[in-house]
Amino acid sequence: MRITTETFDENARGALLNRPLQAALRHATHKFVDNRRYAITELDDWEDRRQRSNAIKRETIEHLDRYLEEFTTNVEKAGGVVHWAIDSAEACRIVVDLIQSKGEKLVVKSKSMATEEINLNHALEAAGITPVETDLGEWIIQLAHETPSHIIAPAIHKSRADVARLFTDVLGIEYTDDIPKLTAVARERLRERFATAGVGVSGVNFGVAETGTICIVENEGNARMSTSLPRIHIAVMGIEKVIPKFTDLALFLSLLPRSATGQKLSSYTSFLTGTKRTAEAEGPDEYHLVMLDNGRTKILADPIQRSSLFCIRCGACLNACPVYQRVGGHAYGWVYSGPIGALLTPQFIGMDRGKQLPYASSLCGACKDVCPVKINIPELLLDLRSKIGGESGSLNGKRPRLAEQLSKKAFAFIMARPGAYNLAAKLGRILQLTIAKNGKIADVPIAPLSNWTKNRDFPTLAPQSFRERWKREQENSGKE
Amino acid sequence: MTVVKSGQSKATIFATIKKALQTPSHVIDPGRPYKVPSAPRQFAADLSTRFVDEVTRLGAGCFVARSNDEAKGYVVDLIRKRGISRVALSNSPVVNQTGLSSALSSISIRPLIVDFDGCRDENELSVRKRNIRESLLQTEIGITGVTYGIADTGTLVIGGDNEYNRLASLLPVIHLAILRSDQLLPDLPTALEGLNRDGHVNQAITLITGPSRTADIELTLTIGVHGPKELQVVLLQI
Repeated sequence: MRITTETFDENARGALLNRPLQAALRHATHKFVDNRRYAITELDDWEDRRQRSNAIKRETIEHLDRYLEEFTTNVEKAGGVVHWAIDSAEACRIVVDLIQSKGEKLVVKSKSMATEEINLNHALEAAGITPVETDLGEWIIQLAHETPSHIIAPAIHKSRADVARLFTDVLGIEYTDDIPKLTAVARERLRERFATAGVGVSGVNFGVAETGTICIVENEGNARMSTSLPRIHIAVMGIEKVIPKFTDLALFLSLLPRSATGQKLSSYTSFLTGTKRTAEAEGPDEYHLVMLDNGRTKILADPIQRSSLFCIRCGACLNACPVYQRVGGHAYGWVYSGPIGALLTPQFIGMDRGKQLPYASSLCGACKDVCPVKINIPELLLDLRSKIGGESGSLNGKRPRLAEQLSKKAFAFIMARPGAYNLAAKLGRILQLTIAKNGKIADVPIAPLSNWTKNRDFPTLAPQSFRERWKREQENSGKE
Repeated sequence: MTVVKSGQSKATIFATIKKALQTPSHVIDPGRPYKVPSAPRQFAADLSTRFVDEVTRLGAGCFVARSNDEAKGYVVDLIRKRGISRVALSNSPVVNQTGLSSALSSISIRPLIVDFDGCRDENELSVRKRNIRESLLQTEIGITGVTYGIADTGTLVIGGDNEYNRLASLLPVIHLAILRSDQLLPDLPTALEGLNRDGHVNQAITLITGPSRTADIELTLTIGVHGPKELQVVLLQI
């Protein structure tokens, strides 16, 4: 897929000017936020659960080698075949080779961020294999040749009219924007695919070390179909998705659906452990698990950023983020968007290509408050910013200009001295007369401030400072 | 076919992990103490009432039967009223217990029995598997047993070995599950404890919580994407 992280500013501006997208984003993110807020009230120990999940994730990540060994040994004991992939190229090669060696041509896929990350569909198509996405949202964006714009709802950016036109153009059906009818089309068309595909590819939500079980959470039933009907099941799992105990699933399953969609449990939660035990049992004959590194060990090596590996991909931070709410997922330029994307993307694809993303945040902390595994996203974003800027502290990696250095020194000087502060405020009130319009400053003509106002307005300084007003009010009341 | 040097990659990944973990974590938030719930969730009402409430809230139908005959009557009635002719029964003890198979014959419906036991050889087994699968894709109602019901969330747990509930609960348009009230458990932690026997769990376990659904177009809830469009539950309270 084309990576457009380097043009985040332009992507964001385009998104802000796209009225239908703005309406779709507002509707979707607010609905997600409301659903989650309502769902968590049902548990009286939500904060305890977040704290527990954070502790379990920390324990697992800090002993990742031990838990991975236990997990994959148990997968193999139960009859699964485990493969290891250092990067996306190796992961794709493993999957393609497997499918070709079995002589299969058609693959049904259930929603998986890991396979988006490695761009598996592209590799399959290049090898003459047809991948069919079966999650409704994923299918829509596959038909439209687009990429997901949300972890949970990949086609969140499309209106029903967009989907209706797409189905008419690509599938040749009569135009309808009736959502149940459009959904019925997906059911009918994809049933044929489920019935004939030789291979099902899925992601993994959790891998349980104790039992070698993989857990897949979904609402549509397409993951059950993909892992039950084809004769071969291939699962792709990031190495950070392991948890220690089978009973830990209860905790994580109380957090994930509530945070993602506001459900107590998703419609279908599958626990798959190895291959079938008897010839009579239902389900695939073969089960392969591809364990994916692809940069995760690099994140692990950073003692601060390590905790970003706790992420369970619920999407709650996207919905809560004032930046995501306005610019949407595509602006972030790669598969992971929102606050967690701003953390993961630069580390996965390289700091130089993703350096704009950690700045796509006002550090308001809404992401941290909703994160079910308590990742301190704002602190991690600040840490990434410091790493990107290096010692210079500047975004483009160059030595800061003299003007920038001087202005920072001047700012520090003024903020530390009340007299200087008052003087500067008075001066500012006079200077702003030249650029303020309708109570806001839309454009400061001097760089680097002009960069800031390029995408935002700045409120004008009030005609009176609070201190001045307070003083006057006190004097007035004294007279009465 | 290219040789996949997976062994080598595994060694590389583990070496990288070990090296990475030599640096201790820099913890920004040490966190605060927390409590782990030690007992199952308590409900104001009994398990059956909570279960029925939750199942209903999910948009599924729920019928409480006081006898096998009452359960059988309800199911046959539902099939007749809907004009359904293609019925599948999984070979599960609780389904057999209701005597549905013969009751259906009396209204001239020959149900598809989902059962893969007793084939003479592999060939016969694979033919039967193919046939049953093809039939299930055309079936209007699949009737199965369950391993547990979870009261807290209105969830059905499917995954008993050799009960053949997996496809019959997934492919038909309607899924009707029958369970006895003594199969009800309070919450998910209790169910997971029951499913885990000293580190051994069955190969395929599915928690079913309501009918198949999506909200992928404009976040509008739509029932029945790939899984069953309708979920019906019969609770045997004998």
